[in-house]
Amino acid sequence: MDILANLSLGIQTAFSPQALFFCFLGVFAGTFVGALPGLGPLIAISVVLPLTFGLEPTVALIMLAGIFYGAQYGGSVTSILLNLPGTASTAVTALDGYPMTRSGFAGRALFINATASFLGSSLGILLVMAFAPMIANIALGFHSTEYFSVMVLGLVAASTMSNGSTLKAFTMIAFGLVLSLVGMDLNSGAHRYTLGFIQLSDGVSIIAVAMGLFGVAEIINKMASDDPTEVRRPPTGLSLRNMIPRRGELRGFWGAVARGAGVGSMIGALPGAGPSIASFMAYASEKRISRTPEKFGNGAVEGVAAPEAANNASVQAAFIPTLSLGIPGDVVMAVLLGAMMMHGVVPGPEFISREPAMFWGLVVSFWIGNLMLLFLNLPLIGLFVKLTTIPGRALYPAVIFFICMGSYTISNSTFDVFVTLVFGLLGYCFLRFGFQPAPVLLGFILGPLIEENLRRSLTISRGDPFVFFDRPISMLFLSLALLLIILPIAKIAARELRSSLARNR
Amino acid sequence: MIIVRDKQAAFFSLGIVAFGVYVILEGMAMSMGNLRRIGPGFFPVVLGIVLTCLGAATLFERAQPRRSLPDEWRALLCVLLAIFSFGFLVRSAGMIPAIAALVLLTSLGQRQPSLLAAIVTFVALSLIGYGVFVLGLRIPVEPFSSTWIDGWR
Repeated sequence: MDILANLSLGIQTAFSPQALFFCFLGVFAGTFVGALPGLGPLIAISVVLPLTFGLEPTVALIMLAGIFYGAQYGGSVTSILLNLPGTASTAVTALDGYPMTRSGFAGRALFINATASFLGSSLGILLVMAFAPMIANIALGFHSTEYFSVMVLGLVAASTMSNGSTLKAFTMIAFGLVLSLVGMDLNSGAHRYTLGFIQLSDGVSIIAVAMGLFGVAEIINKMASDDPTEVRRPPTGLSLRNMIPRRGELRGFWGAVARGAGVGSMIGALPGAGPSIASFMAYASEKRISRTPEKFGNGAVEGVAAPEAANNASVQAAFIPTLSLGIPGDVVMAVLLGAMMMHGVVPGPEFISREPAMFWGLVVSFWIGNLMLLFLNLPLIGLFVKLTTIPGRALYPAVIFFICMGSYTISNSTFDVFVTLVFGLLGYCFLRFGFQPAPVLLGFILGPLIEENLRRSLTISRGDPFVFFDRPISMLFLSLALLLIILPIAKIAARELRSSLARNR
Repeated sequence: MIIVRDKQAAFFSLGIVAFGVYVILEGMAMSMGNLRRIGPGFFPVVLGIVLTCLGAATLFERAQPRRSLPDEWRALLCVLLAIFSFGFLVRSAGMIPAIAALVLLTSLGQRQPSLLAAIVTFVALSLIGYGVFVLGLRIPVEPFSSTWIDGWR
């Protein structure tokens, strides 16, 4: 059996003492940053990434991925206990989790959260195991033409999927693509857009871009809106005993978990739609089908279980396009892809067959990491709650310091600190004027691949630009992309038409 | 029929357009090649055109103005200055002075700056920074340094 051989290979890789240790470190750090408001998994991964260069690539990825899914747990704990979402994807959990805490059922809410998260993740991991190798196998037959088209489709889907203005999302994708041009063109040796800086000949560092656009901009935003003197009081009287729910208290739990995990996996596997959208959609649909919608917002079991299953499932399912096609399913995935490249691993359809130990080791480590989260975090909840009482006036300088040090360690030079500074300013402007920064990173990661495959396709077809429409699979991808562009425009046009008709009548 | 009501947002969109034009001009300076063998300038010019058009289109989009916060400018300025001075000082004066400048400036950007909180944060971050980056990870950075001159290396 193939799958058994693969699994045992993965188990061997993931159960090495080093892998276990760094997996633990990753999920622990992830929970930590997930619980701290203003510090998300993206910043944490960016800060830690340059420090992993000395590690074996597999171990490094296991740890970085652990930070990503660990953060979901940490974020929901503070959502439930303090009505203070540590990460955006757990904001929905606070809607019903916090009312549970207020009525004295904090332990029960945490139990529901932990088990729903674990079950959601499990479904996501199973789907990664089933679909990533399959999709990669299909994609192995792709030529540069299909690869170009599928990446275009990925970018278009990502921008129409993100919340906010689709037009602005497209603008951001184009900006990210332009950004990826910076550096030496590998094909001709020409230096492009380096502005005369030798440090830019390897391109702009994705770490500096990510930390500037997301980290610095977010801190500025938080500093301007938070009250620094506010003291948060965590609830008391949490013990392991009152976490275990009594019989009958879990009515509706299993169905909500199953539906949430299903919604989450589907959304997570799509490029561009991350855990925030997944948890929101799971909550909304759960409320719609519920026979007692009035309970939502007042501590409904389903209101915690469904979004938690959804965001964790989506986090795992996001690895499907990332590992099988090399197309990031989400911003954090874009940084993880950057991490793989920095470790000398080439992402793409050949990844799974060329690096089976890394792929299966990573997948098995997801199970291990989620088990660790399930059992280690319950006793540590008190500690994480204490963390959130760190006042902003200490937290924000600390985050800025870690961002500065993180960008300094990229190549042990101050140049990247200044690059981070520039992107911090840009990121602030993006936030201020309603541009979503996430598509920038997707365009940035895919830019070089798109250009390379475009050039190859044109060379093979002897300069015929219609090659992308001649090959059926490529044609399919491009038509889908076109459809995704036209649909929202048509919707707006129809609405305008209807309102102008109504006015004329 | 420009519908943008927010002047700053309009300027930002114009900035994107200007940047797109720069990308096109800079790209045209490179070889375009032909369709059979596209040169290093081809993809940049195409992207520049796309970015310019999209940026121009955002001018006409109905902007959803986000209310600007009272202390936003101060926070922005202080954080940027904090990062700048850290980048400037970390090599020339060392990590500890760089942390001092960073903490001081970041604290000034907050709504109610407190000197005591800043000092406590500075001491804590210095210890953490020294322990984690110098002792633990052996990052080539000195706690104190006297090479004031070559701050840019």
